[in-house]
Amino acid sequence: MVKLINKNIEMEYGINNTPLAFRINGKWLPVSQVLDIWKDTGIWWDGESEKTFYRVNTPEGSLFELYRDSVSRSWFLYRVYD
Amino acid sequence: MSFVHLHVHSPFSFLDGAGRIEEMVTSASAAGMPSLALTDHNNLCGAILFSGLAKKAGIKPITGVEITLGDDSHLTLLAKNPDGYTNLCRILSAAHLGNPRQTPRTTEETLKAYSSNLAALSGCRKGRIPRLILKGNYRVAEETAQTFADIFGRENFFIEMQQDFLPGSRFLNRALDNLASHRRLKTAATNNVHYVTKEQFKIHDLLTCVRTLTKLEEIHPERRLNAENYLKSPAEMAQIFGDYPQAVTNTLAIAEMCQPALETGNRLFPAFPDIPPGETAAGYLRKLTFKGARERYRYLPRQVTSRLDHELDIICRLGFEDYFLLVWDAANYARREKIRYAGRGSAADSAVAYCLYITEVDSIARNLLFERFMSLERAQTPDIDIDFDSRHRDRVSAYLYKKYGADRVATVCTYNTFRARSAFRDLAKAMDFPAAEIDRLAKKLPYIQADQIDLAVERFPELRESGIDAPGFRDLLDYCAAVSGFPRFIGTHLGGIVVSRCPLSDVTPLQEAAKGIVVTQYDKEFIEDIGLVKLDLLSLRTMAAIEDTTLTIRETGSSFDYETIPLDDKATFAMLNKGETIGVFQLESPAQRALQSRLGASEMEDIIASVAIIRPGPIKGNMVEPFIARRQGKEPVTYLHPKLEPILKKTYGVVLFQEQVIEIATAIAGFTPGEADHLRRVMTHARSHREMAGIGADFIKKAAANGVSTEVAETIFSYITGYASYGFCEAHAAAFATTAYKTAYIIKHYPAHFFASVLSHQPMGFYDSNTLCVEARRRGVTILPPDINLSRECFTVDANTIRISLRQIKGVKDNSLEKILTAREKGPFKSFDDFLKRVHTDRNVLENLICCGAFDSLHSNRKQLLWAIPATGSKGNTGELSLTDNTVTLPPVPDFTPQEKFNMEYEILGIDVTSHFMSHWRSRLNPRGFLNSMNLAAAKTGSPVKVAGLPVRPHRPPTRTGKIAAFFSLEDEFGLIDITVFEKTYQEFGKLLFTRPVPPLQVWGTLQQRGNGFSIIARKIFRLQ
Repeated sequence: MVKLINKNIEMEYGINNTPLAFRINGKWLPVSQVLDIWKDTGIWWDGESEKTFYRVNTPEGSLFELYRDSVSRSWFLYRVYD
Repeated sequence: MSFVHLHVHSPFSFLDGAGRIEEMVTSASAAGMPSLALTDHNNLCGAILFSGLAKKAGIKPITGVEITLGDDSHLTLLAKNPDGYTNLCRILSAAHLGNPRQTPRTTEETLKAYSSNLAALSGCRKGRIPRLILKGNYRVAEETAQTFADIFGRENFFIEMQQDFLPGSRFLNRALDNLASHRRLKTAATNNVHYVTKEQFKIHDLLTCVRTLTKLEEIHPERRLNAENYLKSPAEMAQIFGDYPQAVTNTLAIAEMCQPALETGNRLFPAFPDIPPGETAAGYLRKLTFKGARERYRYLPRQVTSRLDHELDIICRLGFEDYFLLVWDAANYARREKIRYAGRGSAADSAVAYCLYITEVDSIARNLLFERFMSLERAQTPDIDIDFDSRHRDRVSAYLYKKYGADRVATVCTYNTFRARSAFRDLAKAMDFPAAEIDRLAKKLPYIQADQIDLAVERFPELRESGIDAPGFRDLLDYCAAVSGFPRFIGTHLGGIVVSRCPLSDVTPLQEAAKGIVVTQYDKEFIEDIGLVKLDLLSLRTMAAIEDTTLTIRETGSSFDYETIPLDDKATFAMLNKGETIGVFQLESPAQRALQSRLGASEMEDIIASVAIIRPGPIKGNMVEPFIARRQGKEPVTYLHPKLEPILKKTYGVVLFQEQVIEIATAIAGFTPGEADHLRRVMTHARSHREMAGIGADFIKKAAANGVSTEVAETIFSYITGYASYGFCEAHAAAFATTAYKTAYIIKHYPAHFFASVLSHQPMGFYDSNTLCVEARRRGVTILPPDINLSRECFTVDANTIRISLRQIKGVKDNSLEKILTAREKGPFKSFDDFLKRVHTDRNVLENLICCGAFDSLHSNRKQLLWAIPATGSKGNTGELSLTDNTVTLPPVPDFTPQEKFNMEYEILGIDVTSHFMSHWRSRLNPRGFLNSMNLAAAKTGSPVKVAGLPVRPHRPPTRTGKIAAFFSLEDEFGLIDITVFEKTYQEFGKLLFTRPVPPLQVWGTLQQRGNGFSIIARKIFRLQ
């Protein structure tokens, strides 16, 4: 089951914006592994900015998709895989 | 760490590349890359340009290609040396010619046959190996890698890795790395470059939409998710391939193993095969030349023999004797077959070409400069162009195919590029602008480059008022500018063919263009760089019209001979002096007609000057008025320096011809022939101001050393600069002038025959069929409507009448025509019913035949005949009539009104047959004081006048001042009235002229007489109402 969240989140990140931990429902979840990275320019003709997506898992084995907006530099929780 | 991009697409990937090659090379060089590869999709079109630019930038060019295999997978190939390049050409030719057009596919057999001297990379995500891995078929992917390694050799095959930030890339690269390790293959990092900068992704995405016929809002698998396929710097590549540093390093080793593969400076034209035993090509050429010389000149004075010796010496020292024999052979074939032709261009500077009957211009008599055509110093490939009767040009090329072998002859390609209109249409469609709006605005765009639209908006009122500069179009116009000049597709050069000594597919990739013609992947510029010589076999309808005119005149029992037309016919010159030149080859435009009415031409020299002077170069260089004044003796002929007199004497001290520029540079500044020709080329190709300024400084310096004052040298050079761009060479002008004069002679003495022929070969020349008919009528020729029993395939002449042809009728094509003419061979049609019984034809054709009056002589009520058609029944939905009922009953209905008939005739024939459109207005225009083209001359010069008519060919040529001036003609029932619209009036009323269709107009202005011609300076322009 996949849930679309698309909410702004707090993020700790390292070199090259590699996600280290993110806060969800007031709780910090460490990233144990970045499984995949991709970039999406989105609807550029409508002014949308590029996003870098990270598929990560946490020590408990949960799978998340996070993204960073290249212009606002904000982080978002995009999807959660149950 | 350094890095070399080995997988790079340019705009020559045709709508899949958005970075200009120039920019690509500059960026690579600035980033310190020692080499760069170009690997477009299934073609090498950009290879020569790329190679030249890379060498200039000091980096090594690697010639490559991304081929498509039989399963639609991709593979990247790089030539390691010239032999590898040959194999690339063979692979691509096989891929194109062995498959349906536009779907080149390379088979494994072809790869095996031509794998030597190539390096291969496993390709992008569309490569066979990555595709198998992504499908989870790792084992087969490994086997495939082994197959490629076996084909190319383990040391030449590399597993290509790309960090393109697409979902799955991390997994894919890990798998590819594992595969390489497991099979002991090397990896290579690439970035599948499709544009230079990240910002150009938008352009690439738009081009992808154009290519895939999608809109921006629509999804298509070909559209890329992100903007990562740009020319990344070595540092960026090292960073994104941090886990695979060896893949980055290996690119340098691959670049090292690839040497420049494109060889230039070869001589690839064939040895002439028909040299008599014991004879050399040079000897045979000499023999043929002198044989021709004796026929041309009867006896050979020293002036002729020394000129021929000089030319032959240069031709042979440059190694072009076989090429001349080849051209002679083609021309000789045409002569044998009685195919009318005429050589044009700078070849007419050659006395050898004249003696070989390649051209008809006696360059010795005209004292033409051979060095404009060929020189030892320049050592460039000669360019020979020949115009053939348009109907038979293909026979001449077929002769060459047969003689030299189909694998050694091909047509040269052209690159259709984005210009303003095509860029606007294509990109606006991708951006989902409304179709009607796109069409409306695109039609208003003039024929300009796609990056000149903003400039055009500033200058042209019809564009400003169209709304194209509204904020909503801003981005679109910027994108148009970004794709300006990008190639869209490969086309066929109108006449250029190449003949090669070796199979062409060894030196250039070949592919199929429209109509099944095999073309080279290099255009006329590039093809010469690899050592092939282009021969222009052009198709000229004027030649066909001349041939038909000659034949129809002779059918009347006349002994008319086109070749022996007297070149001093007073009546012809008198006609030219009145500016009555509609239909005359090269002299019929309004500007030419105005020139003729002022010039007072009395000999061929005047015609030659005329052809050369109405050109952007002389016009912008302000040479027209001084030339006319001096020609008429109204202004003294002066020379800035005595050395100019022998050069400019025949043009009254005015620089008209390219040859004169060369001679001036030689005489004044002591330029060598090569330097002088460089000046000519910089000038005529409108190259950079900086380059021109550099040559100018050199000219002035050398002139000073030659004893010419700086002031005089500067003035002379300013004249040359003013002349810059698009001047004619004298030889070309002389070749055209001969045809121009002779067509004028025919019009004067045989107008019906000539106009009938010209009408049969439309489109040609400056005017459409209706204007030509108006002119024919003005000359006393009667135009007769089409008649089902009298009209033939072409327009026909009987005494002083022209009968409109059956082919002129809309919808009448070969099939219908053949049926009608075949049926008529058994006797004329006795009635409409008789026609229906004997000819089974398409319903639309039948309706058009009726409505244009082709059956009037059998039955005058057209509406009745139209009613009669349904009574005959039709065969299903095919529109083909099944005429089994031979008892057609015509219902009693009244016929169309004359006005309705007039409208239908024009719609179907494009010709006002019985009366001109403007004759219907005349009774309303006369009381309002409007003049017509016949009584205009009676008005006082300088007086205000009002005229009305159908606008013909509005255009905005370049002007000396740079201000806009528009010119057009108003056609009425008696002829044409020429209108000049200056900037102020144009800005106010120009929008009426450059719309489609241009409505009938009324012009209020001032009558002007210049020489024998009249024109009107427009003050106000309105729609006719």
